[in-house]
Amino acid sequence: MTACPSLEDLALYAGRDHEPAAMADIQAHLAICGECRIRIAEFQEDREFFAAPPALPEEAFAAMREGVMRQLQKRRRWAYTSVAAVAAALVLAWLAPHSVPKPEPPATVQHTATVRPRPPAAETSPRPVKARVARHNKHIRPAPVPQKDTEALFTALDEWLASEKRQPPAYFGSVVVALQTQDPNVTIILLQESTGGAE
Amino acid sequence: MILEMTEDSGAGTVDLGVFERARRGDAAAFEHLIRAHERRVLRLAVRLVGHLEDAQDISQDVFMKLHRELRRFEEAPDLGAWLYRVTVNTCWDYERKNRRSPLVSIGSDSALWRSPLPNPEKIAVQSRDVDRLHAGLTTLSQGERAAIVLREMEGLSTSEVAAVLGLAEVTVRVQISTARVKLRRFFENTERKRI
Repeated sequence: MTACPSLEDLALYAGRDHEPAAMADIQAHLAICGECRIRIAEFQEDREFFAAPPALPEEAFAAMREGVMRQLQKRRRWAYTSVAAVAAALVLAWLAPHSVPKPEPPATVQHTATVRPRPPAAETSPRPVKARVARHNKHIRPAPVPQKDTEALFTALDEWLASEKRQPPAYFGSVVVALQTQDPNVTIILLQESTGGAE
Repeated sequence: MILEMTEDSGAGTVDLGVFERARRGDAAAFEHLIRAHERRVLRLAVRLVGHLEDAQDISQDVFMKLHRELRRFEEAPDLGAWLYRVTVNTCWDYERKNRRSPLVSIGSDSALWRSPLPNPEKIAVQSRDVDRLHAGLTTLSQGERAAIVLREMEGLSTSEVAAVLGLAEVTVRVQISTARVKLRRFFENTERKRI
């Protein structure tokens, strides 16, 4: 090698970081080139300068180490607290159904329907009835009664109440239950549609 | 590539028993691991970021990462190389987050951590040299700085530097030679100014 190698090649040579073949070429060149030898010497001087490790005081290491251990301790404490909180939540969740009284089932919903007032009471009726209220349980489906039949039914019922008979009137096969209330003007009448027998 | 696990601090070699105990959560064993590697980690961080306090924060991050990763190591890793790699990456992350030009605030307090010897003359000389070196390092790119610090100051071979940085050896050679040339020019310029 006669031409001077690049500064980058000399820099690698100075640290013995070049490929073996390149190292041999540069070494051959250095034997004849004083300027490159000076360059190499400067690079080697720089390397010695770099190599001196920073003299850090012991306190710097101790402070760093203590910082790490403190963080770990804090993290461990936090983990224990979290586990305890989760455990407490689980215990409470397990205990809750056993300590709180069971709620009562919902009350039966009652529908109230107001039936229009009856026509003026007959002369024979000792107890004029102004209004009639029919109640039925939600789960009992009232039988659909045609309007015409309803009129006839009320008429029959009025007659029956006026006669003070204890036998229910035979009317369309319905079963009639009359409940007397404290109010003499109010009678609760339960009708049930006949399921239809042989008759 | 296996880097030696022995430290120059006198802490001795970390045996596998210590590593295993640290993995199982033994705090004393983990502290032993820190003692064995704290010098190389803090020293490298100081070289790369130039601030002792920042370097301490970075070193703490590195060891916290080690603690998190311990259980994931299936077998005892090459901790030295792993720590070098994590330290370099943490330094770059730290610089990016803090958006601060590295190595600028060494200044007058550098002597405080440069030399434990109470010799003012020596402190002054060392402080000047260190400031010069750190000022020179600021002229390098991150990759060049990491390569030259690992090669010259930590004494790794080019292949070891390549393994730590995850680069091809030829790339590392280019970075090292470029860094040496840049630093030489920087020193020549500063010498000329001083004269």
